[in-house]
Amino acid sequence: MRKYLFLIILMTFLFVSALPVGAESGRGTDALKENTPVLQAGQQPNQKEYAEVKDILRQKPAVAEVKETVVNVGNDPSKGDKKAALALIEFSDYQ
Amino acid sequence: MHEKLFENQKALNPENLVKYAESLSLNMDKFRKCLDSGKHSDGIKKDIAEGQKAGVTGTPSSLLGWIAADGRTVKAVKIVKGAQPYEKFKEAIEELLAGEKK
Repeated sequence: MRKYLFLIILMTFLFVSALPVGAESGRGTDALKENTPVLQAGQQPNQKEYAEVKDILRQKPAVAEVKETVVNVGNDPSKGDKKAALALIEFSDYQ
Repeated sequence: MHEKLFENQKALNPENLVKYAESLSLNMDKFRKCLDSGKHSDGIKKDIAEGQKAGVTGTPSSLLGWIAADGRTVKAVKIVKGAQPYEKFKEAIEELLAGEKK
């Protein structure tokens, strides 16, 4: 009987000590440790894109010469004087 | 309709287009036929191809050029990429006007 009692007490002790009581912060830290490399890895595509965008902005001026190209505008909607010297042709999306 | 589409950029599926047309009292019979037939898609594709030939790679982009005497074509000589501020456009236009008129 005492042997069983001892075993019960021992098992209870082992069970209780295995509970994550007071180890909330420990578990939180573990979660952080696990997630940090994931977060860092997630940043890499962003950083790469950012670098690419910076390159693009540096290389391509907003206004540039183009080789002379004839564009048909005959039936396109327009504003302004059709007899003007210059035309501005807008390419845009609604979205 | 042009303004309505810009105001509703996130809702441009065909059902919405019909709604906008109705709200503007457009001729719905003509509108539906036009929309369903896709008769403008070729024209749009041609416009896109022409733009690309002149260097358009994205929107918004603007080509700046000289209007031919008959008003049916424009000889594009400059491109403005993106939604640039007014000053950039003004500068480009003034540059062309100050230069040789072709």
